[in-house]
Amino acid sequence: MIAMETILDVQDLQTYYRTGKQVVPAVDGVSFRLAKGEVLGIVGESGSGKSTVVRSIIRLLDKNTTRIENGRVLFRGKDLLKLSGRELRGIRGKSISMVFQNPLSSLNPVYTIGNQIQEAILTHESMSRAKARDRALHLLEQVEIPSPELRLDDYPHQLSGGMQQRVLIAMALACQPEIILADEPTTALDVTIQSQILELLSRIRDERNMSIILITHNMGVIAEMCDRMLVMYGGVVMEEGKCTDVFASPLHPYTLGLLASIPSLEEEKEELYAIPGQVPHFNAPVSSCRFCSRCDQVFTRCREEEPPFIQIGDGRFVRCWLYAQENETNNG
Amino acid sequence: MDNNPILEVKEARKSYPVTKGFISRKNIGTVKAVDNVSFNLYKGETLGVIGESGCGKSTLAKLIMGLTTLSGGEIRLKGEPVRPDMPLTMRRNIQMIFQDPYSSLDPRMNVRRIVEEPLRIHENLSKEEKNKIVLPIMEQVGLSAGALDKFPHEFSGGQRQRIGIARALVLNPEVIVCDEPVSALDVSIQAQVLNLFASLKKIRGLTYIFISHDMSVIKHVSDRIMVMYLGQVMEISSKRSLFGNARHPYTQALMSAIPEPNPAAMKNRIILKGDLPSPIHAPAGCPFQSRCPQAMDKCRIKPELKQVGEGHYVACHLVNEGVVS
Ligand SMILES: Nc1ncnc2c1ncn2[C@@H]1O[C@H](COP(=O)(O)OP(=O)(O)OP(=O)(O)O)[C@@H](O)[C@H]1O
Ligand SMILES: Nc1ncnc2c1ncn2[C@@H]1O[C@H](COP(=O)(O)OP(=O)(O)OP(=O)(O)O)[C@@H](O)[C@H]1O
Ligand code: SF4
Ligand SMILES: [Mg+2]
Ligand SMILES: [Mg+2]
Repeated sequence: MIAMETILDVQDLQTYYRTGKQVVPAVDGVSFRLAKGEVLGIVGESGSGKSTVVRSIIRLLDKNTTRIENGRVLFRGKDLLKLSGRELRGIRGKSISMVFQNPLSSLNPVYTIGNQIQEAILTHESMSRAKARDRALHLLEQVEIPSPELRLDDYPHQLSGGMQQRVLIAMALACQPEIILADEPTTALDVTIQSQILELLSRIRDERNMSIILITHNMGVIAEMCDRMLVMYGGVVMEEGKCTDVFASPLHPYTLGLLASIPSLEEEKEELYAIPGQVPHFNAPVSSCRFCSRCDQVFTRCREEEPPFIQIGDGRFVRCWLYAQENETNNG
Repeated sequence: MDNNPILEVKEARKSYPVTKGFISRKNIGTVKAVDNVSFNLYKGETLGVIGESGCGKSTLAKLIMGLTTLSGGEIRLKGEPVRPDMPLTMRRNIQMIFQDPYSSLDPRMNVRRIVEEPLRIHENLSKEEKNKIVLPIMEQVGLSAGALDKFPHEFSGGQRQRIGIARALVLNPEVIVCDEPVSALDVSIQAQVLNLFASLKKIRGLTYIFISHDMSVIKHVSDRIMVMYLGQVMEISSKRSLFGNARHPYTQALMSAIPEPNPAAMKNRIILKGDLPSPIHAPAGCPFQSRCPQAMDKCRIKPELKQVGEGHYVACHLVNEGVVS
């Protein structure tokens, strides 16, 4: 395989929330690379830090409660975390755009969808209104909205949830972005509509060689859409690898637990595996494996020291003491 | 299994008027939220109800609970008609668990009051008598007795769902209607709650109606499955027969749309064109015709439910024609 060009390089990202006296280490040292044309999935339970990762990339965070403590996000050699607000706005929505879970709250209720797509275009490119309207029409066609010329003048609430999500995708595509950050884009939709949207995203990726970061808590969606995946828990990446590898031989006890707790369509299980307990609250700094309170393979070292991100093979990593090599153990 | 159904639903209908205008409230049509639904539920079984948003699952649940009046047809619980004004002795036999473990519990009440609430309404008991009922149930749902003095916000989503289950159990009902009870939970917590439902079924011999839009969850919990679309039953069958031989094009599409966490098991996806039609403009004839890949002229006439195997019924003209799909 040819080495793929890296388009986004996230290095040791740390994003903390401060609420009152509490500090929540929502993202606590996350690194990964996104290649051109690649779909990277991020999966993990609620609160594991998935949204905070992608929101940090384009700095869509509340300044009053959130701080990016550390890290670099390199896009075309530039660190996005160091850009001025103005430089960032030039990238956000143009080179990198986002699609969120709840389409209705991302659309403005008082403007027609045609208007909103045109705005998205005109923010970044100068052209006549008529031309922008043409482009908007074309985008709606691309995302398979039936009779798009009629729909341009509809208001968001006049569309179904699936159509609203397609409009959001059209807006995200308006300026030919290189990266789309999709945060649970189908979680609010029915399965048959979810299928349509996922197929649409795949097709656009193929046509434009775009890169996508896809957040979901649905392992099935990851398996169908993504080339590589990150499994997050407690603000860190627990496992990373090609999807085919991770699903064929999951390494981390957390990944194993997540996969085993999904009711299977193929085999009948009387009882599902259930990861005991619930996601605990973490305080920074963490000095144990973040999963140790729920892990069924926990041993002494897990409670004393946070495991490093251990490389197992080509692009394959796991954060678990079970995989530490002898020499590392001796050093520790 | 007992031969007499514990619950009989016969041609149940519920329509809501659709009005327009704030002041004039002009009637512009009706939504047939539940349209001619019939089935029997037998003691000790779990009937899974699956279908997409707005297909009438929750409305059906409300009808079965007697929380809203029927527009037509009838529903009988142990032979007696279910109605909003049915006697308490009857109502206690059927309880409901809701989707949202966050909003379905009153945040101002502690857990003891929440769980004991049905007892207050239904009987006059001393504190000790209540404890005798509540404490074993708390244990069965996996909550400590100490939880009784806490408030809902102190619990996680999965624990709150357990509180809702405890509340549904205190009157010792025979039937429990679960309306999307795990949809708001993470898979790990979902597994805990699904296991709890299974163990309660064993311990207490419960009968469930289990509503979900997640086919893998429905497959896991159900003995029989009913597939709904726009208020109507498309297919109803034992789990085995449905998974071995789904006959309705909608059921087939629904099954093929489930993303599976197994890249090796990639299936031939049936991608449906278009959106779910608005129930206000439900087409005459088969409700699925606007999205059905196999629709034909005949589908403008409404297909009746036809038996295609033991306990397996399908509402589709392809079946009438004897076409095997
Ligand atoms: N605005 C905020 N203020 C304080 N804490 C926050 C805020 N947003 C998120 N958090 C906390 O940060 C952690 C990570 O949250 P995040 O939203 O990134 O998780 P997620 O993986 O996207 O979860 P979900 O699947 O529920 O969307 C959680 O513990 C969450 O409670
Ligand atoms: N009180 C009401 N007044 C008017 N229309 C209603 C009312 N309740 C439900 N409906 C309509 O009846 C139809 C069926 O709704 P219902 O809530 O039963 O669907 P559902 O299958 O439970 O959907 P979901 O999966 O979204 O919960 C919908 O079109 C809904 O808009
Ligand atoms: S490091 Fe220990 S506690 Fe953490 S996942 Fe591995 S075995 Fe479990
Ligand atoms: Mg999120
Ligand atoms: Mg509902």
